[in-house]
Amino acid sequence: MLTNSITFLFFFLICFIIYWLLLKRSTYKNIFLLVANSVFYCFFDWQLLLLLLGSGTVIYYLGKQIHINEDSDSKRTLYFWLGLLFSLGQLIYFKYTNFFIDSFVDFSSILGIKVNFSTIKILVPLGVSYYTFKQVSYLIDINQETYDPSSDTLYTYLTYITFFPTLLCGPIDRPNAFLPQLRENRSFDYNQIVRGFQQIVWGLFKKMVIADNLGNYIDTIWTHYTEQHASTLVIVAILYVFQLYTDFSGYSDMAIGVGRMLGLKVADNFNFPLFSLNIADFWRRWHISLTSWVTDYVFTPLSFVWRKKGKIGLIVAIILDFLIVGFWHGANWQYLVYGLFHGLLFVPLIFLPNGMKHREIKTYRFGMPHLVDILRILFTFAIVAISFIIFRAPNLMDAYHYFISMFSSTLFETPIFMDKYLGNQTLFFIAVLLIVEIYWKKTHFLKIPFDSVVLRYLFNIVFILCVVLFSGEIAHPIYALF
Amino acid sequence: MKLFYKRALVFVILLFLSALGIDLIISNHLQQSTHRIYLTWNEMSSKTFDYDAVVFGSSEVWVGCNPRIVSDSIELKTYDCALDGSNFTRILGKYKYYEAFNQDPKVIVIVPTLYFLNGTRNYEKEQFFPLIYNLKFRKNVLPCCPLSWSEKYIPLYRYIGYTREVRRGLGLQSIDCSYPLVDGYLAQPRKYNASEYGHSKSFTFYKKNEVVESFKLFIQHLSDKKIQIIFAYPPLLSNTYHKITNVDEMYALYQGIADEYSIPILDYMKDDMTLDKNYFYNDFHLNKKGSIIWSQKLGHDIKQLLK
Repeated sequence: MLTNSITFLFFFLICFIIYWLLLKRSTYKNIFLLVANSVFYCFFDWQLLLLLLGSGTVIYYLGKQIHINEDSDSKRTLYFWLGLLFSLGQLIYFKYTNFFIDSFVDFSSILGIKVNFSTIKILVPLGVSYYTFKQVSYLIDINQETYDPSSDTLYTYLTYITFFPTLLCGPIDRPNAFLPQLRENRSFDYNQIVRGFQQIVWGLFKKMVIADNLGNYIDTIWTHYTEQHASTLVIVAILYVFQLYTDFSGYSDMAIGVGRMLGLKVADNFNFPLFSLNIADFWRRWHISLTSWVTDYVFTPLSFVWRKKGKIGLIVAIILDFLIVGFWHGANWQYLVYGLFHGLLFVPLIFLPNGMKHREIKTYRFGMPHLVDILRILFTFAIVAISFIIFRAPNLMDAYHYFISMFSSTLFETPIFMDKYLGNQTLFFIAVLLIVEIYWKKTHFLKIPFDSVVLRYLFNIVFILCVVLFSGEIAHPIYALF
Repeated sequence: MKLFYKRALVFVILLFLSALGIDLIISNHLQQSTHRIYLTWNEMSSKTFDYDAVVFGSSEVWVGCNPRIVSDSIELKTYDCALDGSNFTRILGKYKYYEAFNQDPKVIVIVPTLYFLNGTRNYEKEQFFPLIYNLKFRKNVLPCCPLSWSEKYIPLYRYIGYTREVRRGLGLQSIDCSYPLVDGYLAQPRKYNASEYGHSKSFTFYKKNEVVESFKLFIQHLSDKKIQIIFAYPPLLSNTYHKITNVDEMYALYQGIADEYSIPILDYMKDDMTLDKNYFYNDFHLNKKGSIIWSQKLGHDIKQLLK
């Protein structure tokens, strides 16, 4: 049951009515949410639900033990490492075992040693990368005493890690931000519900109208990329940035919108990344919940440890940081290379004065950005598009061949726009996306001009109709695979 | 909360009305088109539609029987009322639609095939979308070509995922008429391509009991109306015929029905033309050249029967 399906619409409608009409106390609301989360997960696999709840229960009790034993360093450390080993262990087992076996066999054969290992059949629990990171942050925050779990109950904790809108594709909520909300009494807030609904509509539009239509076209070109003109490959590389962005941010918007309609604030995941001035700016705006997680739990401790090593320490910490980001996406060398590529892109910025410093786009009359900033945005976009070739390719060799093919003599031939797969309306909707995002970036996200109710109705009706009329073949969100 | 309910209700009503308006525009535009999947439905319900002989069947008839050639032989205006990718249940829907708008024909030729009495499938169901506001269609055809409750009652719902139809209906894409229909017939000027079915080692005649019963009731209905019924097995490539594992079962079933209602059977499954691949574009379907030959033979044989 995907968030962009009719089944989900009915499921959520029932949840919404019961949640706000029948349940007054936050305790009942939380228990109901846990049941709803479980039902949602059962649509995929009920057996793996037991694993999810079981692993959550173990981490919850280990977290409690860490907190109870805050005066005893040895016990606290023991419970902390046990918890870490348990949560990361299951992630490694489910997601990375076969990668390690394959890599070991390949490496041994390079050395001329014959080994008789073969990969094993492992069913990967849906959302394992997301809920494991939630569990790890829970343990670390308690261990660092930045989060107090004393008021948590088992069911509120389980509601947190299984929260259905974010279970498949995130965002990865932090315990500090999410769990206190479950303890508070939630009252029906009309404005938040309207805002949540609007965000769902916007997310649906991005996912179903832009991403799914682009997906048909891009997948077709990628399947036969060796037969395509270089110009087509360049267009597809550019469009893939839009596909990945609208697919993932669309799904995130739906998750945040659903959370908002249930009175819960879910972490932001995107902040107009298409208008990034450099790669550091891009990562401050792209998949924010993952990058901030890695920054807080990996980069910051590492850069603190290596602070005396100066810029070298910083570079190593950043590269390690991005290797983890890359590897988080999947057990594949190409994701490691993708992470490494982005890590290396930071190196010039470290040596530039104010290279890493955040600043807003300089604008002139009528809100037009400065020419230099426009060039910076385009340059960042191009780098991201190239890195996404590594991300999209079936393997590293294909990524390399695709990249090389983009610079062949057919670069100035007319690109193939397959109308069957990519209607002209999709390009029109990309333009709509950019215009709306430019407006929201200047004002604030989801703002309706003049704050008019009529315009809000119009916005929602127009975009719902666009979803109904122009949605592509429904595809799984790309990030649900991770 | 009251404010929310009020505004939510207003929103739903506005959304419904907007969807209904767009649905009507799309459906109306599609219905007026001459695209092959809409054309026969439009023709059958038009006032100028006037035919004495009708051929019912699946794709074998659609691409195989040129009604103008048959008309010339039998001297009765003939229409190819086949429905591509369909079995009897959907073809019955087409007959009922025909019946709802027209006088009974004098002759009905039914072309049964291997999969004629199999269960239904909703191939190219988008052809029914623009007809949803037509009451005769809802009454007669929908029971045979089921659409879901949501498709029937929620405006635009049935168009979800049919972007091509939406674009055509809104005038954003031209309606492709590169395959013009002639009295319901579609000529296929193609050469034989073995890969379409050629790799199949065997073919089996399937039947579903409820479909057989429904077919018998249909024959009874035509018989009561004193309409001349003729069964005609279509030509299929000789090699394909020999791959049918239970062809006798098929013959026995139709023979039984034919005997009961004194229906003559014309059999082209083993006709000489089935030995020549030049008349086919795949194992089951005649190309334009083959359809001319078969239509001439069919016309000639029907003429003999009608004498």
